[in-house]
Amino acid sequence: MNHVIIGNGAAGIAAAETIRKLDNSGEITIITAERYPAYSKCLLSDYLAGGYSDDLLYFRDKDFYSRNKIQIRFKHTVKDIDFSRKIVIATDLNHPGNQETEISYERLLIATGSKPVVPPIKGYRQVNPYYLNTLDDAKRIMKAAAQARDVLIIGAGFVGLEVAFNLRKRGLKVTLVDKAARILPAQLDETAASIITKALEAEGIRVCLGSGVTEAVPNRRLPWRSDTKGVILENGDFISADLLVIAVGSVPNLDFITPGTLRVNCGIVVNQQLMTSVADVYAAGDVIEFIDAVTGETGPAPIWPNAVLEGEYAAYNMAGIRRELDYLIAMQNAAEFREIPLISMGLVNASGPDVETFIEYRPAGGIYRKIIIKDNRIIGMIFLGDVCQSGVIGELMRKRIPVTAIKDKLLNLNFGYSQIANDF
Amino acid sequence: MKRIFVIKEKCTACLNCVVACQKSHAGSDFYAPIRDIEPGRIYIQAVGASPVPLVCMHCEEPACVKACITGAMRKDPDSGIVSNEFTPGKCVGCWMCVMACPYGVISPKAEHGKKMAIKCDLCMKRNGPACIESCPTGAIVYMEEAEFADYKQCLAAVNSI
Amino acid sequence: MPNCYGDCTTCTSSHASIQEMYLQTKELGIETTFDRYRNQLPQCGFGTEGVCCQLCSHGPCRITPKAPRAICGATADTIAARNLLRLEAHGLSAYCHQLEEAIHTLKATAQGKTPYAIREEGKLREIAGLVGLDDSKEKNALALDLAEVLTHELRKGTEEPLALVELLAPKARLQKWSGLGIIPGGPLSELRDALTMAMSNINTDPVSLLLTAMRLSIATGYMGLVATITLQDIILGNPQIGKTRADLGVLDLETVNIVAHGHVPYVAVAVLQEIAGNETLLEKARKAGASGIKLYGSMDTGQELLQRLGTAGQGFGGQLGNWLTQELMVATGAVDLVMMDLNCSIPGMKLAADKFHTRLVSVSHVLRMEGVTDNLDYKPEKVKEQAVQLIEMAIEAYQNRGKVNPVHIPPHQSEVIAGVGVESLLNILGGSLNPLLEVIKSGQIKGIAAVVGCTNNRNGHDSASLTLIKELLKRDILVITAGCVSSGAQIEGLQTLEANSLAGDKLQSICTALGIPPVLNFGSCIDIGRIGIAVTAIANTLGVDTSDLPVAASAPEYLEQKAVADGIFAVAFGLLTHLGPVPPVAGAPLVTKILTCDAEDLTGGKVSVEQDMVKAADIIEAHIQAKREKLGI
Repeated sequence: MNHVIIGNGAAGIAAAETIRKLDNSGEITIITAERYPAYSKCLLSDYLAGGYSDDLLYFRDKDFYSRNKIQIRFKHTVKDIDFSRKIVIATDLNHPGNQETEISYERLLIATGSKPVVPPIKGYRQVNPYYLNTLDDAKRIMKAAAQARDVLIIGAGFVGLEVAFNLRKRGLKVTLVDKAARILPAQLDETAASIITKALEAEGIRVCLGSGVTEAVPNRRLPWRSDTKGVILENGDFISADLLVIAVGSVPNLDFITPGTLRVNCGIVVNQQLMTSVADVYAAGDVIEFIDAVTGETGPAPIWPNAVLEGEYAAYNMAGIRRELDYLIAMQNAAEFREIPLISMGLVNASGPDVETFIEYRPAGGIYRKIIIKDNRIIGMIFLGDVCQSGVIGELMRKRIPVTAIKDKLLNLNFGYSQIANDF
Repeated sequence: MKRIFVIKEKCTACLNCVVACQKSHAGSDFYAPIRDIEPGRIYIQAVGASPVPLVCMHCEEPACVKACITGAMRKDPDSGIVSNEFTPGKCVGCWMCVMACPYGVISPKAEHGKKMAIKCDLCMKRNGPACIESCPTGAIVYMEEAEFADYKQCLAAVNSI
Repeated sequence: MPNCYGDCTTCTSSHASIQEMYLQTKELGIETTFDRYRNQLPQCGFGTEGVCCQLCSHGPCRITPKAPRAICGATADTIAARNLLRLEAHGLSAYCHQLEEAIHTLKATAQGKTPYAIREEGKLREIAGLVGLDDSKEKNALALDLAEVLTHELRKGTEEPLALVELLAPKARLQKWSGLGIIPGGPLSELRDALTMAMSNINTDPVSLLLTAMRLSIATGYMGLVATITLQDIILGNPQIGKTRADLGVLDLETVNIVAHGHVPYVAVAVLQEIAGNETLLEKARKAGASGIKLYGSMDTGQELLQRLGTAGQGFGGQLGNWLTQELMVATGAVDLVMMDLNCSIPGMKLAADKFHTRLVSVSHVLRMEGVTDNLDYKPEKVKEQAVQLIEMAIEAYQNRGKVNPVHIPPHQSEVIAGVGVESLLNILGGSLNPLLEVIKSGQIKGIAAVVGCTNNRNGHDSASLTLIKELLKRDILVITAGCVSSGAQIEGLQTLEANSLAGDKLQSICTALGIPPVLNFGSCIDIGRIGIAVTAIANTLGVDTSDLPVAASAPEYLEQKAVADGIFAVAFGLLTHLGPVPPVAGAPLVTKILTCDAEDLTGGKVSVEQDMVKAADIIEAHIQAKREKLGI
């Protein structure tokens, strides 16, 4: 069998690894626009703090491709896929003439991940903003940061926050702007957000919330610093910066798909075997949409563990072993800001008469834990300060286990797997 | 593979295993200096009034390995040990594995700003797990799966006398 | 080794005789300390680290990352300091018992009711004069007065400073102790207060608890140790240089064999007197088939006798061993009777005795042992009859020797030069400490280390202390021993002139010239007080504080609570105090820091817990070197 995988990230690598485990002789080809071995995008923001070698980003050993007999095609950008002829058409940037090349497949996995959202705001392009999606993006930001003094980050999501903390570690003046009234509105509630915001401020990061950006301008208003640029906020404030990073979210990366050839909604639509609407074509990772264990609805679930799981399931099915993935938790995140570990999953702001919320808040200990239960199931949690048992709670969510009988115990100091295990 | 099995009826919650684990992994003869720095990798949880030891099962398909964003956490194909310590320096302490582990047996550790997820490594740098040696009651044992099944049968037979 | 959990170095002894006897016990199915130690492994980490509190019924509480405080809120430091104080109080309490018995014996002796006499009239008059008595009185009347004064001292309140502390301690020490508010009053009152403080939730301040521990230790030093040995010397005679033999090989197959085991020598002395002078008993023994009657020493009772071979110890049959050998000496089958006094008689000895004809007899009203029915509690006024009774019991037992299990005496024994005290040392030196000080100043003796205290199976029987002693000798450091360490050193042959070959060149030449062993036997564990007196004398002669001297203490195998009190006293006295097994405070960061570090600023002394004895010798040598440099010598 000839397996072709487009994408060299979490899903692509997990799939390749799994296929090789199941099929020792089949061909595996990975096509990637990148010029680096598989690296972890989650680590790019840490990379910005400096002192990080590229090697540390590579999440597989040096001999990964050879050991697994994977043909890796670096610097190949996919232009189109001819599903009827089972051919991927790519541009090979390794050749001076950007030669076009055709790669045929018997089974194809699309695992092209996501790309940053470019906000439709006036003047952005003139100020040369940076996005953080690839290692080359990170290197560009590093280069710019070496010359910069004032950094402006637009977007107070996980990426924005991590970029802010890490550039701050380099001693830069950092301002974080978001039009939402608080940081991480989907991942945190008021209390948790205020704890992390305080941590941001304690780190010396200026946080401007509740006012979006109306216009980006090269800094003509300050002629003596002509190299600087800045943004004008909805409230009229002008914030200048010599380095602008935009982190307002990501969308599936599927520009190469000719409309009408493959069913696409928010992302590529797949079934529980990770099959797309086209025969022998599978998709996994940030590029797809999937069923959320919490809401039961379909949408993007762009997080590393989900991508790996999808890649693995796709691989099984590509190798001819039927495996169905039930559902995933679309929103789940782990992070640490200023020595405050944080894990949040599911719908953390759910409210209403049928929703029960359990909270343990110990400000002195820096601990805030919250669990939200609806219809006998946990639908959301925030573990901040003490994340130890979050995996057990996560499992109860993932498996949709009824928790009414134990709901009062879930936040006990002593709660653990032993209390939900029948036997082991 | 040999792994740690639990005979929970025998546990008296003396926590010797936890102390031995912490000291062994911190390489310290003394407890006080490392007590709050080196997390224990075996856990004694209270179910009602009964203690239950809990430790990593070194799963066949480990969720922690799948969740790892750096490739630090892996399952060694030869020994079956699941650990992020095969590749020193790789783990950055992102806590993805903490979030993913359904058993809650991975703990965050931070020492001098260096973050690292801490879990049972079956004392692979040592001759057998320290916790097993320290258990005064035999509530934890280090055996092959089949060996443990036999052992449990033996225990049941003895208990029925 | 079915129950052995690791490749430890324990369960072995440094001595060939003990190794041999251990195999013998295996053959006979006798379980000993060596076996039970293994059965106890692994030991609870919380107890080992001293962070387990069992005082109230909320407990036991243990300090863990999840529970950094006990239910009442006590920290690891509170718990460890409180436990340490309780341990020490036990030790001082036993010392007080021993002193009270000495006072009682002195009184009865002065009244002519005992077989003892006032042997050291000079010492009596000296101490009596010091405490303000009319020292021109007739000696027996004066002894009664002294007994009165010491009884008062023992019992008086905590607010009245102990006379002996104020009279005997070096001035610089007194200033330091007074500054810390740790000059104790009457020991019994101090004990009452200390135990009150150590009740749950009375004194929970680790610093205050540790200062109280220092206070108790000073009471231990001057009353428990110094006062007791002074009285014992008055009644039984000062130590004198003499020669005897040690190890299980000294047991005589032909004689009725009595072993005096424990710490207090009075009954044993009475027995020796009867053996020497009671023809009727000797006849009885002969009739029973023995060639005679012998009394041997075990542990500190033996040390008390062998340092007085010319006086109260006349007729002494030899030293068998220390704490860890008690079961094995019984297991030779050649011991007919063990008379047990005060502390350190273990229930395990009964298990061994049950395999033989050996009779165990308590000669102290505080000592009782399950299965032991013979209790001849020491009464000074009745001790002569008690001694006769004991010998008769031994003769009776002798007739059953070898009937249950065979006799097996290992062939090993060594010579011992014993009996060093301040007086006998001065004798050797020609009446003045100056010759000793001169060789210290010249560097021929780099310094003095008191290697004292118990024996302990944790690092192998006597192996820690013997390793340390030998390492110190190599470094030209003169070693003095007291307690069970003495027995270990004796059996190893370290208290002989031949042992000088183990010393560094300089130490070797000076000891050879003086005709003394490089390891001086200061006697029993209570004789640590003699070391204190000697160190004080050296400090006074030089006009410096004790903490300035090139001197260190070590208890490389400390075992029980009296040793805890001694160890803390050494710290209070300003000495670097090395401890073998780590005391149960390691789980308490502040307590550990105070004992191993901060104490040096307070008293000049501190604890070292180095468990590698070669490294410990390095630490002691470095300490001595630093003190020498400070003194400019």
